[in-house]
Order: sequence, then C-alpha cells, then structure tokens
Amino acid sequence: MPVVKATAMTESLGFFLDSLSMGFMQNALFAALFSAVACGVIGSLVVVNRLVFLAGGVAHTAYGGVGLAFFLGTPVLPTTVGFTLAGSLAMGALTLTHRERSDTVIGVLWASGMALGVILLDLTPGYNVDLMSYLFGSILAVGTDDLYLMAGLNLIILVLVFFFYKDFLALSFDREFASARGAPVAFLHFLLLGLVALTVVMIIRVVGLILVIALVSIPPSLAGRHSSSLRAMMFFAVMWSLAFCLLGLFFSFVFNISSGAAIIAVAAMAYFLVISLGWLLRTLFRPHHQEEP
Amino acid sequence: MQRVIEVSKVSFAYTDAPVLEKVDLCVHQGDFLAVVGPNGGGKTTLLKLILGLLTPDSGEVRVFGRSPKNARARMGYVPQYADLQPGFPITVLQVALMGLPGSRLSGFTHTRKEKSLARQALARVGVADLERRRMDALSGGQRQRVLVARALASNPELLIFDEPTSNIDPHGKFCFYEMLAELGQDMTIVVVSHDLSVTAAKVSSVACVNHTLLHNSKPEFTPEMLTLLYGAHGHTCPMGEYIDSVSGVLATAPVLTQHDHAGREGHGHD
Repeated sequence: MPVVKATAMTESLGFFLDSLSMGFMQNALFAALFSAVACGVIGSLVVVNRLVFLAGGVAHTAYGGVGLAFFLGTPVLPTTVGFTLAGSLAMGALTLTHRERSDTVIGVLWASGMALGVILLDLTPGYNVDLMSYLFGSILAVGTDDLYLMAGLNLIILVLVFFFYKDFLALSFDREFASARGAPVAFLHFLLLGLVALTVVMIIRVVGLILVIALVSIPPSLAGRHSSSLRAMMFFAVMWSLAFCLLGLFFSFVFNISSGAAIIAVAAMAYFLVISLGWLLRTLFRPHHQEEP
Repeated sequence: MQRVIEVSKVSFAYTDAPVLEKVDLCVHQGDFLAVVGPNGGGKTTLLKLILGLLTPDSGEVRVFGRSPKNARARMGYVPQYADLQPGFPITVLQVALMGLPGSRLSGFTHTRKEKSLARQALARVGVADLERRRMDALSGGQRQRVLVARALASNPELLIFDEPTSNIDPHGKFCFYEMLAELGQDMTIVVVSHDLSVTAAKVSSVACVNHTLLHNSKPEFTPEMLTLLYGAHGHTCPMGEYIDSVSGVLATAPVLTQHDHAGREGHGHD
C-alpha cells in the first residue's frame, strides 16, 4: 500500500513538474514569489506592530473594492487597490489617536466594506463566477496583467521600506522614543497602513481575502522567533511564505483541492509544528533557552 | 550658570480637569533633579511637555533657550521599559543605534562610525559585552542600561528618565542609581519617579509634582513637599507619623548611599 502511494506521489510530482512549463503555472509561480516578498516584508511590520487584526480588516474592506469594480465595470485589481487604500487610510485616521479603541473601528470597517461589496454585486446585472476567486483566491488564474501590477506594487513596497526602514524600526520598537527623537510618527502610521493595503490586495489573488490574515501573520511570526533583527525577520518571512505557497500549490495539484486553502493549511501545519517543537525542546532542555547567535 | 530647562507658568489638561496648574521649574546645567510625585500627579505629563511630545495649554517651556522641538538633538530620553514589546527581534547593538539620527539612504545598514558610537555608549553603561544578545533575553536592569545607552549614543547634554527603576530588583536599583550619579558628572539629568528612594542617587535637587510643583534646590524633602505628596495629616493619623519618619530618613539619604557604595565595591557590579 505505501508503495502504491509513493508511486502515485512520484507520478503527481512528475505531472506537477511537467505543468511548470505551462503558461498559467509559470504565472502562478511568479504570483507566489511576488506575494511572498510582500507578505514577508510587510507582514513582519504588521506582526511587530500588532496590526494583524487591522490587516484582516483591510482585507475584508477590499471586498467593497471588488464589488465597486464589478458595478462600475472597471478593471478589478486597480479599483480594489484604490478602494482598499482609501479604506485603510480611513482606519489610520480613526486609530491614530485612540489606539485603545482601534479594535472596534476595525470591526466596523471590516464588516461594512464587506457589506458594501455584497450590495454592489447584487446591484450588478448578471452573475460573475469569477467572484469566488476573490474570496478564496486562485493562484492558477493570475493573468499576465495582474503579474505586472503585482511586480509594480512589490517595487513600491520594497523601495519605501528600504528608505524608511530605520523609521519603521524605531516606530515599531518604541513609538514614544521615536516621536521624542522627532520621527514623523503620524506619516509613518499612514504609510504603513497604505503598504498593508497594497500587500493585502496583492495576496487576495493568491489566497483570497478571507485567508489573507494567515499569510500575513504566520510566516513573520515563525521568522521572528529567532531573528536578531527586523530585516532578518523580513528575509526569513519571505522564505517561509515562498515555501508555503509552493508547497500549497503542489498539494492543491496532487489532491485536487483549492490552492488558497492548501497554502494556508500548509502554513498552519508548519506553524503548529514549529510551536510544539519549540515547546518540547524548551521543556526537555529546561535551564536556559538560548537564543541563536 | 546656563539654564537648561525653563518651565514658566505651565498649565496642561488632557480633558477638562487640569493635570498641571501654573507650574514653574528651572533646571541649571549640571543639575541632577529628581521629580517625584504620586501616580496621576502629572510627573509624566511634565516630562512629555519638556520633551515636546505635548504642548502646554498656557505658559511656556524652553529647553536650552529654545522650544523643546528644536532642542531634541541635545536631549536624551529613556522611557519606561514596560512600554516595550517582548518577542521583538532586535539586538542590543541595534537598540543603541536607534539613538543616532541615521541616514535613510543607507536603508537596512549603519555606517562603521555609527556602530562605533553605539558601542561607546554601550561601554559607558557597562553592557558592551551584550551587544549581540537579543533585547528580550536580558534582565530588567540590563535592558534599562541598554535604553540609557540608546539615549547616550547621540551625546546629549540633558538626559531625561521616566521611572527608570520600575523593572529593576532592589539591589540592581542602587547599582543603577550609582551609574546615574556617574553620568551626572558630565551632563544634566532629570529623573521622574514615584519611588522616593530615587533621592539616594546623589541628586542635587528635588521637585514634587501633584497638580502643582514644589522645587527644593537641596536634595531634601521639605514638610510642604511631603504634604503635597501625601496630603495634610494630623499626628493622630498613622500617615502623619510616617511622613515624619520618612522626612528624617530621606534627609540623610545621600549618606546612606555612600555606605551602600562602600559595602558593594567588594563584590563588584550586578
């Protein structure tokens, strides 16, 4: 029995590797790479700033943008980028001064963005099957135009994070010290939310807006466990999410399951495995938990 | 002597109830001022006004003769560690580097000169050997020293501390006070604390803040100050006796430190 399974696995692997020569598959691989970079870099900032819930809110607000695009008949991804940016900046304005109340504000925008999307789609004549791909993602359906847009968004994200890296680090580590040193805290707050919006829209194509929150939080939190710097955390988070996307893609191929869910399932399993292993090692070698040098 | 901080007739309110009312304070170059007061009395608000994080409703704050925002480069600030996050991926050296202005164009990296300045600051507070350790792997006292190094990296003339000893064990606390006293020989220091034992740090003057401010240019609490801190109590009230006993103890506090100092030199720091 195991032999049969192994053969089946090898066959699927062969089939998977064959499929890599096909256009849609190459698009999927590029999409995985681009989202991994955005997820790793921005996800790290999201995790250290404890904005995971906010990122989830931004992702669901994006559905309003999808609805708007279908309603107006405009290109989906650019319209969604615009709408989500506006939504996340609104969240930024509402959470800048009252950080303690931000969870309520995020909850409200989370649901209202979603509701707006549903209503706009109801009002749009005809029914578009493609809609499900925005909710649950479909990395295999990413077109070449989408890839160019994703590459462009990645470039923007990388340039801005490079330029403001020290400011983001100071802001994330110790907001009060950062403002006492004269860092443009309010500007950085909005900039970060804007970058979260861009990232979220990009990943929607890959795992869907409902599952975005996992890809933004799991790779960075795994990467942050032993990293000695924020930039190292970003790098390892990119590696983790690339691994999750590729493995998820492979499993979705082998078992004929949804790619978005497969990617998240791989990520979640890796997360629980690493957490339990870490706990086990700490319990076995108790006296001191040494950090990696 | 040059005036470093001038606070004149400053009032501030977050909502309707004023936190500070017509507060005056003057700190000269080389002073080592302890600002004590109960929680909610306005100590941290005063500190934020001096740092330029808040703007007074009325009155004026000048630091080195300028507005606080324009004097930032000459001030070093050491916040409470309690506000910082556990699990943050950052090493001791990187925290110290944060105290330097840094260039945006150099992105993820720092120059050799910046690193050497940060290392000097770490050495100055005695944690140079920890530079590769992660912040969350350190003890409370070590972390606090790293935060001091971060403030020292830019070579400030005025150093401001917010509750520096709240996460340090009692023994480490006095080692920390000793370090403060050493730093106080080179620069002006303001320490805000709710812990009256801060006066054991060889301070040169004390201020009590509780909505208003009383300043004594000697390192002693006057009975008026203690009344401001604890309210007026008759001698039948146990608090009255406590105040009497505390004012006696604290008046001799600097002497106590010297004993402490001599006793500890035998077995070194930390």
